[in-house]
Amino acid sequence: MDAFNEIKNVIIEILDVEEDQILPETYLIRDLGAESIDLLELAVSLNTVFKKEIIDDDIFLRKLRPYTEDAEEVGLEKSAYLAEKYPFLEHARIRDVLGELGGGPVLKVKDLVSYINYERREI
Amino acid sequence: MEKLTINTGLDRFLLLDCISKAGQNSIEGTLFLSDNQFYLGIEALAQLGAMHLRFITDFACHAFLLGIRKCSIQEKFVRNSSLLLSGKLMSRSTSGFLYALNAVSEDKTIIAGEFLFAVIPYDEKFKKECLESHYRKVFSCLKNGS
Repeated sequence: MDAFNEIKNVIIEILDVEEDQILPETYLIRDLGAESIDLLELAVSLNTVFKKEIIDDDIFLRKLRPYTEDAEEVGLEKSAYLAEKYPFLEHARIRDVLGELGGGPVLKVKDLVSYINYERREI
Repeated sequence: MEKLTINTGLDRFLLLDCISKAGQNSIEGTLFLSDNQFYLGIEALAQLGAMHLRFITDFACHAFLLGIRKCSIQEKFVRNSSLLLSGKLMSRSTSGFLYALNAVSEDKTIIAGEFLFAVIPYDEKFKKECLESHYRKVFSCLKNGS
């Protein structure tokens, strides 16, 4: 089973939502109503399923806004700074994230997939 | 605001009688219950899990119970008995920790559940200068039987 489907199963169990509600583009907080306790449950479950270290701040993009502020403060290009902080996100996704920062929590299911795939890569 | 007094009937908050073993992934302790108060067993398991979490993080952060995922309780509870409590760290992230905790009496599992804990940095509300030394001392006393 690929990472998306495994993550989808974990989300279904924790958030008690229907399978068809979960797509790669689904927002975890905005669309599915995930709360902080749900995200913690999700993190430990992903650790169980994938046996990979889960860094909550990274996988849930928790420091996104402070990072963009930091970049602005020191005059760095935001997308380059975020690419360094979130190496699992593709450049196109970082551009999208920066474009929708004003619209609420940006975390999508596909961000979790990217994190897990990045952690599973062969080094 | 009206003052609300809650009387638990207990003379102490800490329910654990001792911690017999503590390793990186597991912990064991005991609790003596003098009445059919199985709910105190659940609270004791939560205390045991939180104590293990503090131990493995070297008491460097505030640990607390976030929720109980599932918990089964055997209806027929053994009165006036000593419960062997044990916990195993099942999975974790940087701030979430899932434990399987159970209470056994006379070789029978009385309570078994999955408890989710979290850690946060000490702050103004949960002061490092109070909590870190306090829990170090409590852990040491429980472990050394003092």
